[in-house]
Amino acid sequence: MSDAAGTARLRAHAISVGYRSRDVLHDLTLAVPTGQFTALLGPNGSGKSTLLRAFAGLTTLRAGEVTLDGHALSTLSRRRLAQYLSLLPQTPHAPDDLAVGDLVAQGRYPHRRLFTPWSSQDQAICNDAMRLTDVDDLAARPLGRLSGGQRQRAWIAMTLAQSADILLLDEPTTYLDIAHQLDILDLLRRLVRDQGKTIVAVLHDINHAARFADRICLLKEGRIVSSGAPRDIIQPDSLKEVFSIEATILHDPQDGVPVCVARR
Amino acid sequence: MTASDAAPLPQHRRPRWLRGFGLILAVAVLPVLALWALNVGNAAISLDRLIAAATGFDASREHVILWEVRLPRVLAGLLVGAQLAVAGAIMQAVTANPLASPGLLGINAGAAFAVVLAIALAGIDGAGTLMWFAFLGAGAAAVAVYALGSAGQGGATPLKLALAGAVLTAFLASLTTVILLRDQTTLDNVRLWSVGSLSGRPMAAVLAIGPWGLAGLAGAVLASGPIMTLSLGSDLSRALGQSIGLWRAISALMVVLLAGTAVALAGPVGFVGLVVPHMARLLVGPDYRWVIAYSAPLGAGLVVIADTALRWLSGVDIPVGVTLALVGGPVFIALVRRQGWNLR
Repeated sequence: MSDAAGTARLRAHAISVGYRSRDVLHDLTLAVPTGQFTALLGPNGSGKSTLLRAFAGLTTLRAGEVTLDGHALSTLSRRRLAQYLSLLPQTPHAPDDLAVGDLVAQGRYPHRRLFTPWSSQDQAICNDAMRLTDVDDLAARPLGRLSGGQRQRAWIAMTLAQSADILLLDEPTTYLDIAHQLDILDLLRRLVRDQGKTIVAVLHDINHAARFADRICLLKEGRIVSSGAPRDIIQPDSLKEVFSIEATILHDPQDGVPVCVARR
Repeated sequence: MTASDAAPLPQHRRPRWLRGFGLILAVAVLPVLALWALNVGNAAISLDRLIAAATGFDASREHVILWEVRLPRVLAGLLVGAQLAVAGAIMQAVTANPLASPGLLGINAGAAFAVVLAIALAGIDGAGTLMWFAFLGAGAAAVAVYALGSAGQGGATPLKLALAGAVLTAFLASLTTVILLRDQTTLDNVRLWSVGSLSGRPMAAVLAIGPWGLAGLAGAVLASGPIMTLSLGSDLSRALGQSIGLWRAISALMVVLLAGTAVALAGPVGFVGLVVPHMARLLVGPDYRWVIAYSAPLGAGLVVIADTALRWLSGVDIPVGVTLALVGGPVFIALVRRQGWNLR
């Protein structure tokens, strides 16, 4: 983690989170490297989503604190926080007859005051967000008439319209077919490369994380087991420890990206 | 990529000007409805004599009827309809519950009970004072229904909230009836009011309560943007930077203000708050900024029509609360069947 410490705006300092008697995160410390794509991996119940929500300031911490640019999240107003980081929950809901353009416009909420009218700049930012996510032709389409992949891109467009530097995404590829999963991951990659965004995403496919993320963070039972570049993290030992699987690691002959073949 | 690169986007399914135009049309129909309602009564008063009464009051019987009987009735109808419809729209947005309305969730019953209690036990009259009891009752009922409906597994589901509201409404209605039965002679007027009626409202009551109702309506329109964001659910609205505690509290205060004033003026009129927001949503889609804006004129128009149509057709004066329940029941069933709500 030390390699990223100098360039991290978002950090968790020894945080613990629990629901009732059960601790979900234990004394967890993590710095999110700025301008990189970090993937959170781990089995069900390992605390990935809870960590993401803690980074968004949406959970009550039992101990420790999450800081953005050195300020504890609890000292920032929700509006201010939302200007710097945006969160896409795992299964967001909106009415089926809401048009894509109207959904994306909601992303401007933290930048608008109660009595400020919708500006041409607001609209331009929404248009950019929809073009980046390739839903600009669907602006007038109600959400209920989109495919799963289009719908997910519309939601990402809404988080982009927030103009936040840091994007937190909870399982953005779940329930999508493989081509749409790759679409979304490629989009996230481009957002990091071309827009300088910082992305933290909960993923469940080890190979997707290995291919698209700059860094992988392995979680088990509310603790970070290891964290670093994919080729350092995707190793038989750590996968056995975290997922209890026997895996062979191959390397893509074209680009050397590690590929995990799970045998059991 | 800069803002200037933005290519023009295709227009929305319903062009925005159409929504705006429809809203202007809905508001423009209200004065026409009001003139019609002023005209209907035991003695029809023609349009030119209406104008004469408006420009020069001569204390004739006709002018007194217009100014002291019919005008306050029409104004109260417009206000009550707009307020209950907007209160229902806010409740449906904030609770993500298609069944939410001041009538079904017990807010109206709470306000009515508090008002009857104040009249019967403390001998209070004067609409301006009774309004505060209506606020108190509406607020207490809102808290009680939310607490009842949130108990048990799954939190405040639409069905549990509606059941809690029905239970509280039945309970408070029977208490109200007990009070009215004990004191038969002095409370004739109250008895009529307790089923929801616009007749016999003095102009003084309209003038005392009206500004509060208008303030509630203005507040609802101003806050409709945050209310729309709130309707997306707590995770999303917080991630978008909304203080949901603050906006839920503001929404609840506005509902109490709108429903409390409406009940103080006309009694617990039902179905407007439930059905009108759904009508608005069919017209303008799910964006609550528009649903709230449309609910006001649609609710106002519906109540004035419901209060006037029977008198106009048959000369029989039936309390508007009864008429609306008769019409609203079937409309409500049609809406439920059409939308196939999942209430759990």
